[in-house]
Amino acid sequence: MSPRLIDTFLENVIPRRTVRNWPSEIAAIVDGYRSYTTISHAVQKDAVQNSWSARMNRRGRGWKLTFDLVMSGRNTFLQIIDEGTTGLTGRILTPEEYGTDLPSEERWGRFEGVAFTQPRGDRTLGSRGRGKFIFVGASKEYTVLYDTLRRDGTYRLGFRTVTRTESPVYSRDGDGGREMLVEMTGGLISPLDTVGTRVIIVNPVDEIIEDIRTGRFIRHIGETWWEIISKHNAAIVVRAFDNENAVTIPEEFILPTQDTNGIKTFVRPAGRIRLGPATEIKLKKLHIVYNRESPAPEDISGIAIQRDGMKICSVKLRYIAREIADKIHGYITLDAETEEALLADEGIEHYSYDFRRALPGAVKRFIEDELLRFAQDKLGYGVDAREIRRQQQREAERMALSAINSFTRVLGIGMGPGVGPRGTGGERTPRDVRIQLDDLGLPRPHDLRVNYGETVGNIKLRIVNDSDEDIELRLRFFLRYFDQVIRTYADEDIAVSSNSYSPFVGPFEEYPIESTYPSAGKYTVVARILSLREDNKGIELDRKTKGFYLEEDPPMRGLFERCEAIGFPNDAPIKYWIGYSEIGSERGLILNYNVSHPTYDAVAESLEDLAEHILRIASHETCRYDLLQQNLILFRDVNRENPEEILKREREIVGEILYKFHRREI
Amino acid sequence: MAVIVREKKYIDGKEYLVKVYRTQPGRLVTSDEKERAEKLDHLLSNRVKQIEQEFRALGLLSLKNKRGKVLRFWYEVGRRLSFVMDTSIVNAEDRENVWRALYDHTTVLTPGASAVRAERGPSRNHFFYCYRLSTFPWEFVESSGDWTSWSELFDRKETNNDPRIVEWLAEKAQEFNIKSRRNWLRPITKEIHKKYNKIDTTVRYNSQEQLYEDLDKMLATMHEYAEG
Repeated sequence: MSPRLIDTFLENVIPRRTVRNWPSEIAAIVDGYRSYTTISHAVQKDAVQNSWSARMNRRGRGWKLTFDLVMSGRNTFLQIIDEGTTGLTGRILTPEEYGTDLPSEERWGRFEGVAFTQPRGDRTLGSRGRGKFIFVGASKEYTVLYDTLRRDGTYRLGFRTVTRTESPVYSRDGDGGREMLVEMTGGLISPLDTVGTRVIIVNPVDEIIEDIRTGRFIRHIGETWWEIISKHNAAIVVRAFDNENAVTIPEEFILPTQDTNGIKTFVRPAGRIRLGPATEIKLKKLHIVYNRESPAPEDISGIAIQRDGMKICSVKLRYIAREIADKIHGYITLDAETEEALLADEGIEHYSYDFRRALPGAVKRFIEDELLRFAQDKLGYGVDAREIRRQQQREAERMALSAINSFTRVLGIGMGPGVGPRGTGGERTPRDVRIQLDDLGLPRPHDLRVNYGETVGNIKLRIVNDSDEDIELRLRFFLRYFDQVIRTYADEDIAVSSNSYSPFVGPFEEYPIESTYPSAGKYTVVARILSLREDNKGIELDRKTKGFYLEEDPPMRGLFERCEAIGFPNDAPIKYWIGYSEIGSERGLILNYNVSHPTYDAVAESLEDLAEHILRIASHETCRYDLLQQNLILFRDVNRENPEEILKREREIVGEILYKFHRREI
Repeated sequence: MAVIVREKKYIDGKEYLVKVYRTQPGRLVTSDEKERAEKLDHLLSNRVKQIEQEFRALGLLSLKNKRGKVLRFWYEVGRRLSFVMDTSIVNAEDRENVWRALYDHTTVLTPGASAVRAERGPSRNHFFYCYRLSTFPWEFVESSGDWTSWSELFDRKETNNDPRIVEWLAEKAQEFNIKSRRNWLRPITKEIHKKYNKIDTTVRYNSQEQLYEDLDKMLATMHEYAEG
């Protein structure tokens, strides 16, 4: 790092350390993983990844990894033991030594530090230095032990735990370390006696134990690591509950290459593939299988993108009928150079790629195109191209507006449309006769988004009658998409005695699949009660609704509420305008983009390019909006009377928004 | 699909008439969409011109400003606009925007100041009313009431909420002794509004027979009143 302004001052003062809330840090890391998967899945993935990266030879000869669950009355330990690896080599480093780049052999030091990653040239599967904390997060006590036996016979024990403001590490070499391990584990665990490394999760969370007990843990390993098991006979073993099982690849990954009655296949062999004017990838293999008889299990459905033998994530064809998409699975492998290029855009948890970036986006489009061709050629599926286009268009506008609204929201600019974090509020004065509609059971708390294949539960209600009269009413309880009724839960007459409740109606569940749920968007659960009393029969007594958003994010609070395409008149200077914003009807701005401007023509063929074009206009409009306010936020430190300063700041802001958009930070 | 509608916009303090490419919420207008929208715009313009030419040739334009004849005029407009309901020409999701877009292509086929009427919501669109009118047999339309009466019927939320009411009307069209009754539509629309204003007829009348019976009674009462 080049010298900084502050460096010379730091030499002459004793600065205070920033206090970190470590339990929150760990919880945030675990949440990061949870947004993709379960803790047990993340534990196996990081464990195998760390160990496979440290294997002694490329094909992993002599390599083995064992997960061993050791339970006693008081404590439970999950040992992750590897063999045929380099072990955690290197010294115990002083804080000063962390100030320099760590050589690749300082594995112990890197394991104990935070975010000190491998040099790029030595980087293999891991690379972000984050995975070890999932082991800490997987411990009920936030504690892991680790020991290593190196080829020179050196033994070392270490531990990491978490207190309120620290994540202390400790280590002891030789017999002292051995004795300490035996003492800490009450004699349940012996020191390593073969060369390798072991991580011991102290009192793992129940989810892991349950997944090991039910076999899900083994399944996770097979699903993630089928490629190294298949190609290199990688030995991974799970020992628990008096059983020892070698992990095998899921039977679905024994992929047929020939078409049969119920099975259709497609294999695209190795070759260079041009995906755009400046993008070329080297494909090793693309293998697609459709099994008419049974849907692929959820965890392997879609086309797995593999890196270095590890499954990162899957790509599914979203715009064809679910019953077909669910029966397709397979994988894609790419050459080392392409994998390395993709690594830059891989999510830090190793479960995702930023598909907005050029290369991952191109790979994803390639897979989707191949899937579509496969569906058309081999399955005779007539895909509705218009529907695909419609879905893509929705996503493009959302992408642009989400980015700009996310940027402005953090700064506190603009209110915009949408419901606040506290919801829509309740009734001011409850009616005597009313519906109590429960909150929907959504896949993620406080998130109204639901994806295909997820469940919306707890759709239930009851009728409250606080009046002194018995009532009879008609209940209409249904799910609608705009004005179309998708499902009727109840259309029945109900009697409710005075000052009492009706029994619950429900709970019902929704499992959205594409064949029955026509489109992405807002779905609303509606409950109405109508009087059946002769004197006011048909009068609506109460109405309640709850909504969720299928395959799209709910409207956000933000500066911009929507976009509108406008052909500007051919008059100067208006014809030169690329776009502008105006006040909308829902407290936000409407972004108008000029479809008669030549810059529009240059981007209008690609939704991604168009989204960025719109974001660029929105960025300038955000600056303009801020400058029109009495209290400036973006231009706070700028002299409003100085045009040069304003222009310079605007350039920074627009650049920052586009930078963050491409880096997926907004 | 995008549909072009023309709107007045204030840009930089000056009023312009601009083409707005209206889409379903959240959809961007790509070059393909733009091209399709322009083709549709062209098609609407041509269709409307053809209707105007045909009306001129048939002498129908003169009906527009003649008292008592204008109903026929709107009925004929509605018949010729039925292509909007043809999904091979207009996507169902675009219909609302297309009904709105028609105002941009004609002043001859609108009742008055287009700009003001164009801003009325999709459910109160004049061309849509014309189309709904044209779905009834002409003899029935003519005998039941004038244009104001029919507009009022289509405006009412009671008839929009329970399609069985308009279906009842259609049934009446088949069985009615047309010559014996005239101009009964407005009174019955008022009566329907008065009686059903605050209730949901789909609940009060579980069966179609019950609803039709009630409507028949209403009609009979009015008839007696008219004759007595």
